Amino acid sequence: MLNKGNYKDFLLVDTEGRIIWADIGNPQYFKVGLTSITGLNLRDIYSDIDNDYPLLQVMRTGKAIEKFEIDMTTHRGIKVRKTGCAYPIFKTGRAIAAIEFGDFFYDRNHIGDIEGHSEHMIYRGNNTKYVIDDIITGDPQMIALKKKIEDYAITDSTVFIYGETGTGKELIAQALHNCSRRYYRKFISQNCGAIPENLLEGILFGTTKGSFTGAEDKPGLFELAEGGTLFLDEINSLSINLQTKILQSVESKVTRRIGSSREIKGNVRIIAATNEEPADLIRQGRMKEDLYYRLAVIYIRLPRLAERDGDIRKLTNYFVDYFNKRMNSRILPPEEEVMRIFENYSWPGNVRELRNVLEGAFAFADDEKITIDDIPDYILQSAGMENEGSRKASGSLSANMQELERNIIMTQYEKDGRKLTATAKDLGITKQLLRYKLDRYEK
Amino acid sequence: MKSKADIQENFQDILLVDEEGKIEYFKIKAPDYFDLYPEDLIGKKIPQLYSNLDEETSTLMRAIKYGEEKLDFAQELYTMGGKVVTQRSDTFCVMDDSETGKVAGAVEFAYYDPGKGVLSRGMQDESSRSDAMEKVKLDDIIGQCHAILNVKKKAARIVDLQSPILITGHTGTGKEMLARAIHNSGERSKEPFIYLNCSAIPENILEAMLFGIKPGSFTDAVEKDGLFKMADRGTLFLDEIDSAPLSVQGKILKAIEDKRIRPIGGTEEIFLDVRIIASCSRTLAELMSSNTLRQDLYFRLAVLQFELPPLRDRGDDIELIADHYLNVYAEGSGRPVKTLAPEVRDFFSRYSWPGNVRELKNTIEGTCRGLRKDVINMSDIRVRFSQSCSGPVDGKTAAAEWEDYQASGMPLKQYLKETEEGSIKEAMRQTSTMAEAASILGISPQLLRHKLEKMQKSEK
Repeated sequence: MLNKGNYKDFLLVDTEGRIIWADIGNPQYFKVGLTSITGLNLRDIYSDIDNDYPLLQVMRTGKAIEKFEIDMTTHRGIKVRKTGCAYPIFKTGRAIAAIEFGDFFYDRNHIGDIEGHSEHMIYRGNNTKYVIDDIITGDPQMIALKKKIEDYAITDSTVFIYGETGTGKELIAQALHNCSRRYYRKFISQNCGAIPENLLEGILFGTTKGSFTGAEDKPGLFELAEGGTLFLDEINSLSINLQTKILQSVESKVTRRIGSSREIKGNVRIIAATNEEPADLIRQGRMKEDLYYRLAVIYIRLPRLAERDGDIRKLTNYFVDYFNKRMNSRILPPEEEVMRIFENYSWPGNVRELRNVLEGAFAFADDEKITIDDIPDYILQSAGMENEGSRKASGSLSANMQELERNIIMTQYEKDGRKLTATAKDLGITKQLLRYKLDRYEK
Repeated sequence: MKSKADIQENFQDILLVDEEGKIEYFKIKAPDYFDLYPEDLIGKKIPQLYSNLDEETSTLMRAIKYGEEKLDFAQELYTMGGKVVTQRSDTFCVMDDSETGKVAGAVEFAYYDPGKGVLSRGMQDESSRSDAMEKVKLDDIIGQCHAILNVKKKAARIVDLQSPILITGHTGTGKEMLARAIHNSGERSKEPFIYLNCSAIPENILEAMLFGIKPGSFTDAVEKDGLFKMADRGTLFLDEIDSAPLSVQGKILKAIEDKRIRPIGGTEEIFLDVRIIASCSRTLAELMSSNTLRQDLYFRLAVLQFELPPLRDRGDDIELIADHYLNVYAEGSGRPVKTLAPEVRDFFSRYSWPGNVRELKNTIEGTCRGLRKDVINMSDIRVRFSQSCSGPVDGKTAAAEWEDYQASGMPLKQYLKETEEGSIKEAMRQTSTMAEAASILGISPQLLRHKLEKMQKSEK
């Protein structure tokens, strides 16, 4: 039986060891800077490979290997353990190629590389790492969202995602793409805040030779994402000028490269995201109102991790299992004491922060379990302070109380003619505390 | 020696099946012709995917059953969805043991001309799903309010005039729709409608885009037609013309008056027949008080001027338009038409609609998506309007909250503490379990337990 072990990496090589096709989880782990290892030779990947390597062996013997386990060294000098199976492909009585299904395990010192691993065979051909099943949750609100994503995926409507940092905006965007009929086309992701404005325009829309010094004929991301999805994260960091251009392209489904009047028809699904409340951005003039209304045909608000009922525990267990699987280790989930601290902590960095903390704990963990010693101090400290300073979901008790406090303080402040001393006296709090609170409200 | 044709490198597809003929792995360039996702394809047998293949005719099935190789084999395949694929393929056996001849599966490499290989039959092409906006006519503009009826009546009289038009109105009121409707309802409908949003483009590029470039005008200049030329005999729609630099506005005015343009660097003038429709996202009054539109251009454009009213001033049109988009959505999705609950209609009529018709359209579309029932209630749309609902609709105003606080006579800290405890006690009264109370309060059960313990301690 083929691939009895249900391994997730696929390789097809010819008799010389040249890789005709590779569909693997993390090419970067083998050779830095690579997005694909198709076309390379096995010898370009492993420094200590010999003719007994299963793929090469099966072509020599003509016999399949149902299960192998082998230790190799990559060209980056990292030891990898690999398990899998290999089969020869025959043509007129002679082996001409071989296939391998395999899994490799990450070295504990390179746990950070797991972040780059794309779990899903076939899907990962489009630049994505996540599908809808990767939304791990037991929270009713998130479960409802997961259901809706499948419906949203059927259409080509633009999507606007609002979620604080680390809540999984890109995960949602990729899941949507992979649920849609566009899944085999490219998913292109651009963080608009990461690149200077003057370069960004060329990156998004493309350039023509001579349009400015050094400019070359280059397609923009709108063109490269043709047929697929373009994910624009932190869209609010674009200037109003560029936002207008985006609006125009979204409305007319047409783009023009800088310096060109040729119109290029496009069929791209746009998913945009911000980590600030869109209403605030519009009020402050940092987000064009009409662009927002155009993009938010489907509006998704991602809850903060602390708002998600039971998910801190669920995700902690999930990440521990996942890291174990990827590193072939058997570290136990955190002790109950640690879990309780996690559940009381506010997680301002949300799921990403939780993942990072666990990644760190894995790196620290001595032998078989994660203890309180493996958890960063800042979490222990603020867990002791019981969610002071955390902002909670709107409508929740904590949010309501903060809103109430804010309303009373601000009203009193105005009534007292914006005088600190008088306000503090009337409210029965210290001037320092009042100033601190006011500072936070002004932000 | 490796023979050259073992596996041709230019294959588009790989299909690998196990010894039962079930798909174990695939790499397909355009899998949409199956309308299936990877998890649906994996585990399927080839005859389940193509209507004209069975266990005996499928090359992959034959490879497994009879150990048959097939090289450079051309065939026409019909998918279950009625699409035709013309391909050439090489099929090989994957061996378990070459001595006994036992196969583990089979693999096929397929080649076809990109674009030509996959033909669809009896299936609607995704991209041809017409963009309603492109074909809109005056009669398609929905509205019974006086202002809109007046716009439609006036516009119908001038569809074939060459004179420029100015359309004013806030964002989302339908300026581009009106411009296109005027174009599509007249004789120019057979000619191009060219759209340009003036605010998005830097001055030096805008000029070249509008008027074109002749070689030699500056180093490396390449000859390019301008949008005026592209719109010849048709319509050029200049959206947000008041954002264009004043100098360019002057050139547009000249082009309108002279009915001819001179490309940048060109020596000869080109005579054109272009109808200009310009728009501004401000009302007439706002336009006059700002200096963003040149007066002379304004007077030239405003001969035929239309002002589109904000949606909130259009009374019953809100419902009319909402119903229209509910129907459009139902048609597009093939589901029954959804209706709005009376509370939603009422809210719609009171809401300020800052994004106007566009906001209403997007609200309907966004709400319908993923909604599995036929009546839309307030709770289905609340998330979209959380900003406007959360004020007076849901709770008290800040001033009222302050008055309650004043009346209590307590210091702030104590007041907040007692208010919170009141909410917690109320939630506990309403529910039977801790988990339910926590969910009403929107906090974790652990945090609730913690707070209850603290309350008990302070009572002692």
